[in-house]
This record gives sequence, structure tokens and C-alpha cells, in this order.
Amino acid sequence: MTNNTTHSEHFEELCAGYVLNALSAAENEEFEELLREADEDQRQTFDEMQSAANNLAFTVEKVQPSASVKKAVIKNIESGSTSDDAVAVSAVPTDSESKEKSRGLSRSTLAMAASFALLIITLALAYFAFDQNATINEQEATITELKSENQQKDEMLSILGARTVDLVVMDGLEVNPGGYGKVIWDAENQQALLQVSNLPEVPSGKAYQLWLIKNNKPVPSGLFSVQTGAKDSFFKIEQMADANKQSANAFAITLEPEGGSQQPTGAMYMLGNVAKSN
Amino acid sequence: MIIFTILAAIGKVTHEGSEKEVQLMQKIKAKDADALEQLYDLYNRLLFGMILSIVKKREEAEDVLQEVFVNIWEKAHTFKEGRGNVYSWLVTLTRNKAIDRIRSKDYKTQKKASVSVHEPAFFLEGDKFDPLETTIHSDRASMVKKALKEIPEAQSKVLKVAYYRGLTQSEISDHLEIPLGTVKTRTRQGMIKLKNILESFIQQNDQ
Repeated sequence: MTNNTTHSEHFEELCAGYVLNALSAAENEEFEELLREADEDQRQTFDEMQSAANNLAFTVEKVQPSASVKKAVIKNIESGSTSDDAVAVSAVPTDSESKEKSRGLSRSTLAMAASFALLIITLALAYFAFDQNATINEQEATITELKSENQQKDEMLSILGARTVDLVVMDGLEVNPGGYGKVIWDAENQQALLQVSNLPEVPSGKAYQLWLIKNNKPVPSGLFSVQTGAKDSFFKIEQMADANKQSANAFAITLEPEGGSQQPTGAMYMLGNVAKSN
Repeated sequence: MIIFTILAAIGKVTHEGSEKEVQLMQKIKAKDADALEQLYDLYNRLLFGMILSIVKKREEAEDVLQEVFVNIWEKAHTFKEGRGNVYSWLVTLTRNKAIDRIRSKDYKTQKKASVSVHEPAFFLEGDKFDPLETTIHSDRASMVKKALKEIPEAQSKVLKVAYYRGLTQSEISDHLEIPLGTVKTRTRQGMIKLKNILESFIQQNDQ
């Protein structure tokens, strides 16, 4: 029993140092060897320690690098030149790290993926909630529901006649993962068609509000509600804010008080990013 | 309030955002430069902060940041979807690059000649408010900080010096003036506690 305890403590000791990149070269090699031969428990320990170490990154102070770095990266990859790999011994996650990941995601890794997923998708939301400077200069957008199939077809054909239209696909978020939607956006004419599916009926005193996120600021783009039991709903939006593919970041839908808000205050139900290719 | 809804959902698995990141990685594998730009926009500040706390000199850190992203471009094919998330891959890759830099011979000779002054703040204490900081991110940061506080200070100190400064255990031993054996024990105990505490916090959020 003493041997087992010592052995597992030894593993843990090396493991803890390894995930912190704090071992000597010889110890690194030793640990990687141990990892190759590790049993289930040890692999789990490694997973969890690695995940805990990665969590420490959340507490690092973010710092803005110079804009020149981004330019240099782009220039670099476009010219096809290679990076300096002179000291790249451990620049890329090692085989043992990849191997351990193939054992399946541990709970903490999943939880981290979950929280980081929310981080990304709610980036706009938290920003909105605190930004006091959003000013609305444009006329308020209006949304009309297209209830009949004929209306839907007519409007669809009409918008498809525009010179350019963009399709923005929206995903349902945590509060309503089954929801989805699309915006067919005719930026030039400042109008769009909105389709939403699986949005719950609005509670009384509330409404859904569409936002066009332009230059990272949410712009109110109309209010709507969904009928009881409706799976799919279609709307036409007019007098949308003046924007284009460059200035627009995303479309989002949040739940707001009945008259709408100047900034998002409620839960976000859907979010779709505007594709930037071209 | 939104924040509680979101917090309550932290424990649940959703792949919305991480799927987007995976998609970005897939595009990068297919040499879509736009996707790399998007990844840069998402991660540059976090990764630069990490590099800077290890490399210290700003110019050098920017150099490493550039290397990191060019490396991502070239080595995207080594990112395996089923084996962990993009965030872990990026954070690990970045730390490795930064640490390789400070452990290179050239750097060590240089370092002796200069006075290392920039001690970056490890924590977002107080009210340094950045509107682009998400509530989720700062909630996770609070959680980790809280976890670190629940670990005996002797242990958390060793972890912090190791993680934020990228020192080896023998360097830590010198720096803190404690025996190497003590550094190892504290690292081991500290990491075990940290992982257990984080696990339990995440589980709590499920309820």
C-alpha cells in the first residue's frame, strides 16, 4: 500500500507541475511517459488538473495589443511565410495531451466549454446591459406580422427582387435552445424579413424586440410577439437602421417590457452573426 | 435577472458558442483567413495578457502573440474536435509559446542585461470596468479567484507564481526562498484543492 500511495502521489506531484509548465525538461519527459501508461483514475486527475490550470487563465488581466500585431499576422499568413519554429518544442499541444482528451470530456471540461460558450454568445448581452451611450438617431423600425401564406409569399418574392440580400441565421440561446430564426436583410432598402421558430408565447406585459447590432451597439429594430401555439412566424421589418455588412455585427432577439427598450434589458433568445466573408 | 438565468445554466452543456469556435477552427484548417481574423478578435486580449505576464516586455510579448496566431494558422489541423475545446487548445498553445520564449537561451542572456519592471496585475480587483468584459467572464474570473482564496495561501502563492509568471519549480524555489521539495508538495496539494473546489462550484451552479 505504501508503494501505491507513493506512486500515485508521485504522479499527482508531477501532474500538478506539468499542467503549470513548471517541471524541468527531464521531469516533463518522465511525466509524459507516466501519462502514456496512466490508468483511468490518473487520466481523470490529469484532465481535471489541466482544466483547473486553464481556468486560471480567466483571471489574467486582458491587455490590448497594438493594432500592428493583427496586421502582421494577416500579412504573414497571406505571404505564406512560416512562423519561427526554432523553440517550438512544446508550442503545440503534445500527443499525450491530445491522447488524454480522447478519453472523453470530463465534467469540468464540459462545464468550462459550457461557460465559455455562454461567454461568447452573451458577449453582446452584457455589453448592452452596461452601455449607457447607445443613442438612437434613426426613426424607429416597424415590424408587421405576415399572417397569411399569401402575404408571406408576396413579401418573400418582393425582397428577393432586391439587388442584394443577406441571410443571417440565428441560433436559439440558453433560455430557449430549441428556437431558431432567419433574417433576410435588404440593407440597401433598410428592410428585412424575419422568420422565427419555437419562440415561446410572450408573457403579458412583455414583447420580443429585434436588435440590429451595428458597430457593436444594439439598435432597436422593432417589436413583435408570437401567437399561442405558433411554431413558425414571419414578419416584415421596415425603416431599419442604415447599416451594411461592414457595420453590422449581428441580429439578436431579446424579451423586453411591452413598449420596448432603448437598450436590451431582458434575456436574449436568439442571436445570429452577420457573415463577413468577401 | 438575466445574470442568474445564465449562471444557472453554466452547468448545462451547450455547444452554441463553442460550436461557433469549432466552426472557426474548421475554417482556419481550410485556410480561411477571415476566420483567423475573427478568432484573433475574440482572443487577442486574453492571450496577450497571458503572454505579457510571462514575457513582461511588451514588444517581445507582441512578437510572441504574432507567433501564436501564425502557429494557429499552420497547426490548426492538430486541433482535434472531440478532444477538448478551442479555448483550452489556445490557452495551452499560448502558454507554451510564452514559456518557451523565456526559457530560451537568448532570452536569458538578454534578461540579465535589463531590469524587469512591468509587474502586471493578476487580478481585476476593484472597478476597472471594461464594457466589453462579459458578465459571464467576470463571473468565472470571480469564481476562480474565490477558489484560490479557499486554498491555503502558501499553496496558492506557489500556483500563482507558476501560472502567471511561467517559472519552473526550481525558479520558484529560488524566488520564494523555500526548498524545492516544499514547492513540489505545495503545488501538488494546491492543484488538487483547486480542481476539487472548481468542480464543486460548477456543480453548485447546476442546482
